Formats: sequence, C-alpha cells, structure tokens
Amino acid sequence: MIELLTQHGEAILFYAFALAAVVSAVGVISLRNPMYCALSLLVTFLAVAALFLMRHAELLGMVQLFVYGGGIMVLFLFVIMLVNLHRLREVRLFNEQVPIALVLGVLLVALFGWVFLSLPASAPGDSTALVSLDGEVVGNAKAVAWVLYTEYLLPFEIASIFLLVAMIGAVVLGRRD
Amino acid sequence: MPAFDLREFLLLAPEILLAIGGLALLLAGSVGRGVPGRVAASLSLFFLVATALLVLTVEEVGPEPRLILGSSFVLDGFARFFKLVILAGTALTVLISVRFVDDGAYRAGEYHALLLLATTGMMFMVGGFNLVSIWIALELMALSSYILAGYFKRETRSNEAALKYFVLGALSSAILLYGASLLYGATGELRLDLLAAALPEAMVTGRLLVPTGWLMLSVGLLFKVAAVPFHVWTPDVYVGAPTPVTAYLAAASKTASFAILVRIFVQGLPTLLPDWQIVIAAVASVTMIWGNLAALTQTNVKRMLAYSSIAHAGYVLLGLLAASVIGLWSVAFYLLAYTFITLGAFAMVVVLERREYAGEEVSDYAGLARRAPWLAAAMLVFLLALTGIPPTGGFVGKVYLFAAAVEAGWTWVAVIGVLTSAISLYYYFSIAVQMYLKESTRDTPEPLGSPALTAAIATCVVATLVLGLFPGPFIEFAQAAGLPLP
Repeated sequence: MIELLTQHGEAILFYAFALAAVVSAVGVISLRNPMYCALSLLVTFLAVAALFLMRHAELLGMVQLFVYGGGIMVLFLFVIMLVNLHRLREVRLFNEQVPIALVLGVLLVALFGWVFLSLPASAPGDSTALVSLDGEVVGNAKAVAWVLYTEYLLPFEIASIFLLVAMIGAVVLGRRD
Repeated sequence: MPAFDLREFLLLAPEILLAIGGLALLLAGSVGRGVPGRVAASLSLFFLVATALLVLTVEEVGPEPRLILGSSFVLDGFARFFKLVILAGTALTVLISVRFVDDGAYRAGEYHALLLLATTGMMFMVGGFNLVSIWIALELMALSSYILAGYFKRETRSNEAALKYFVLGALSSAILLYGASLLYGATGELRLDLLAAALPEAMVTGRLLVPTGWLMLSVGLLFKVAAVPFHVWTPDVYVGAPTPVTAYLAAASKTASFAILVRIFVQGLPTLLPDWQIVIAAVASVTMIWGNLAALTQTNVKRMLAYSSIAHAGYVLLGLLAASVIGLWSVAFYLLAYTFITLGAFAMVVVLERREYAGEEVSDYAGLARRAPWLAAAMLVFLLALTGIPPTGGFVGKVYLFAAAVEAGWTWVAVIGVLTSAISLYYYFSIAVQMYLKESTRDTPEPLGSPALTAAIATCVVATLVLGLFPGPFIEFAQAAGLPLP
C-alpha cells in the first residue's frame, strides 16, 4: 500500500484533484441554490490551483488561489447576497433546448476524449522551461516575470486598457440617468 | 535573453497616441455634464487624423517585415495598409455619429472614447505577430464593441443586441483561445513564423492536437468576420445596435478581423494550406449563398444590410481561398472599397432614421429621388457598388476576387460568387425602385441631414467612384500590403 502510494503518488494526487475539479464544476451549473454554486466554484478554483502547483507552475497556482479563490469569489458572493434569491429559485434555469445541448455536449466530450487518447503517453513540452531562464534555474515567478515584462510587455499593457474599457462599460451601461 | 529594446515603443507612437486620445475624451466626458457631441467628435477626428499621419511617417516599413518588442508585433506593409483603412473607417463612423449621439441624449464623451479604444485594439490586432498579442487586442476591440452595441440603453433592441453580442462573442473568443492553446501545446510556439516552422513536426508528434487546434482557431476567426454558419448573431446585433455602431462593426471591425484571419492562416498555418483551403471554400460558398438568399426576404434595411455584410464576407474569403499574390491584394483592395461602400450605405440609413427605430423600412425610401435627388443618387452609387456593377469600387474589387479564385483553380466557388451577386441585384434594387419609381406618402420620413453626415456621404461616394474609375494607384497601394506566401 505504502509502496503504491510512493510510486504513483503524483498520479493519484492528479486524478484526485482532477476529479474534484470536474465534479465541482458540474455542481456549479447544476445546483439550485446560488450559494452552493459559488462554493462549488471555489472548490473548482482550489483544485485547479493544486493542479498548477503539481505542474511546477507555482506562480500561476498562487495567482489562481489569491485572485480567483479570493478576490473573484468575494465578488460572486457579494452579487449573490445582493440579488433576490427567492425569485431565482422559481425561474426556469434551462430552456427547451436541453436534448440537443445534451447531444452536442456528449459529442464534444467524445471528440476531446478522442484527441486526448490519440496523444503519445509522454507529454510534449519541457517542464524545466517553467523555472529557468537561459538555462539557469531562477524559480517560476522570476521566469514568468521575465517573459511577461519583455516579450509580452505590450500585450500586458493592452490588457490594462482592456480592464479600463470593462470598467467604463460597467459604468456607462449600469448608470441611472 | 531575447532581444528587447524599449526605444521600439516609439515605433508604436500611432497606437499610443490613439489610446491617449481615447483616455483624453474619457476625462473630458467626466467633467461636469460631459462634452457636447460636436466637440467630442471634433476631438476624435483630430486624434484619428494625427494617428494616420503618424502611421505614415513614424512606422518605417522596409521591404522586410520588422519584428518589434520581443517580436510580439510586426511592422510591415500589410499592417500599415489595414491600419490606414481602419482609421478611415473610424473617422467616417465619427462623422455619422455626431447627430445621432446628440439626438438620443446619450453621453458623447464616453461614446467617442470607446470608439477610439476599440480602434486602438484593431490597430494592435493587425500589427500583432503572436497569438497572445493578437488575441488580447481582439478582445479590446470586442469588449468595446459590446458596450457600443448597447449604448442606447433605453432601447430594448439595443440591450438585446449588446447581450447577444456579448454572450456569443465571449463564446467565440473562448473557442479561439482554446484553439490557440492547443496549437501552443502541440508546437510550443506562439509567434506566427515559429509556429509555421514547428508545425510539420508537431503534426506527427501532436497527432490530433493540431487539427483540433486550427479548426477551433478558424471557428473563432470566422465568427468574428460573420461567415456562415457562425453568423447567427449578426442580424440581431446589426439591427439593434445604434446605426453608426452597426456601420463600424460592418466596416472597421470586419476589416480588422479579416486582416488577422489572413495573417494567421498565411503566416502561421502555411503547412496546412490544402486543409484550410477546403474549409474556406465550403464556408465561402455557404456564406455567399445563405447571405444573399436571406437578404431577399428582408424589409428592414438594416437587417438587409446585415445579411449583405454576411454575403460580402463570403466574397472576401475567395481571395484568401486563392492564397495567391493576386488573391491577397484583392482581399486588401476589396476591404478598402467595402469600408467606404458600407459606411456610405449605413450613413444613408442614419439620414432617414428617427428615434424608436423608425425610417428603417425599405418603403421609407419611397420617392426619395424627388425629395432629395442628391441623396438618392448617392444611395444608388452604394447599391451599384454593393451589387458589384461598374463604375464603382465594388465592381473592381469583385472582379479581382473572382479572378484570383479562378486562377487558383477554384472556379466553382467563383461561379457561386457570380450567381449570388446576380441574386443580390434583386434586393439591392428593391431600394432603388422605391427611391425612383414609387411616390412618397404622408408617413414617409423626411431625410434629415447634417453637415457632418453630408461630408461622410460625399466622401464615401467620391471614394467609391474613384476606386472604380481609377483603381490603379489603390491597387498598387494594396499590392504593397502583400504577405510572403508559402
């Protein structure tokens, strides 16, 4: 038993977190109480953060934890507390297109399953690239920061204009005048 | 350590100036009761012209494309051409927006700020050279467009347009991004040229990742250019959005989306050329057929123009399908002509339109030739150009697109193009029949122009005719926008 755990520890952890992520993601869209949906979403975020950590994307894992698990989650909870939950329970959440959506969804899952099964057993890609810079090991945060602030500096700045536009949009469309 | 030079930011002075312009308008709009529509429009026109001048002077374009800022952006003739076309389209949109925004009593500062920021996104899009920079610029454009589509927030149809556009647009962006991530997973490259170089090997090692990736990428891009079967959002969004915004989506937004579609396919996926040609041939055919057939039954001019814009996406795809030198520059030339034609046609809709979306029916054009002969003549020019009849830019553009497709051996698709153009004559000329052969009734709305609208319509008429009568210099201009072919 111990031998099994030490030998396949990583795989066992992976499947455990992956299962948690998928099950809780299904919960997000199928539970009736919005508060449960939000908590289910939190579990998804945490499980995905764990998956990032296992792949040595430490920075991404932490960002996932703080920004999504922390900040975005709080926003969701605010909104849920502000809207009238009693009315939401009586609203039909899905329309009559359920059968066709179900068929297409299953087809899509089958397609991605097929793509996944076609892949060679060893994942392509070099995981040391996540922590090294010019062959020198510097840690994940520094390696990401280097790429982000050199090669992707301008896209990074465009993202800030993007967020500004989102803010303008919320104000323009939401303001009462 | 990758080569990176901060001084290269100076080469992006046009885009930076335009973004500053957008922010300045935003600031001006937040002071007191906001800026009057005319002032905001003048300010944005000033920034657009200054940006165009900077594009012409600062961005040195050599014979070889120049990669800048860690190669996430590129300066080449292709980017420069489309930047100028987009700026022209935006300037015309600003002109036709003046009365509209004042009329509806919606705030002008934020409107023009969003317009400029969307245009900034488009300029970054056409200059983007890796999938991340293209995608984030695309999102900047898309998000601004969602808000602009819903800008008339007291109108239910505008709300509907914004919501539909947002939900479907977000979905398509997600599909595009997923496709890009699969290609990245298979090749480990985001830069278009390196992606192209890594593809042959990745097609073996990545197995199904590559086909799934590029198909999803295509779905996202074809959604943005409103090609069938990814067009379902177009009629409702075009009808519900404020008409100047509709014009902007049909002209500038479509041009920018086509530019990245061509760049990604030609520079990023040349290895897959035979594969994507089949997809493009199929999509182009159904787009031309369905766009024109659906337009036949429309009585609302905006909805008719929406289907017409879908059909035109099909014609432009012919140039990409040819994947030849002539094919690529005829795409560029057609999008240049199409920008003026579409903006002109939508400017005419603005002239007749009243609040509550009145004046949008084909019958509202009855007797226009008698009441406003010049406006009717202008509309006739746009209708001729949309059908593809000489002496207009629409004719020249279509001829070269069809010729490119035939030359590359895609005759059957070109034949569909010619046949559907003939069908389109029927619905475009239902408007002409109303204008010239029918009498106006008491309910027919009076045309209501303004100096800015007149200027926009005059510019579009002149440009449409000049492109048709003296296409030479513009074809040369478009030829300078060529991309290196595989």
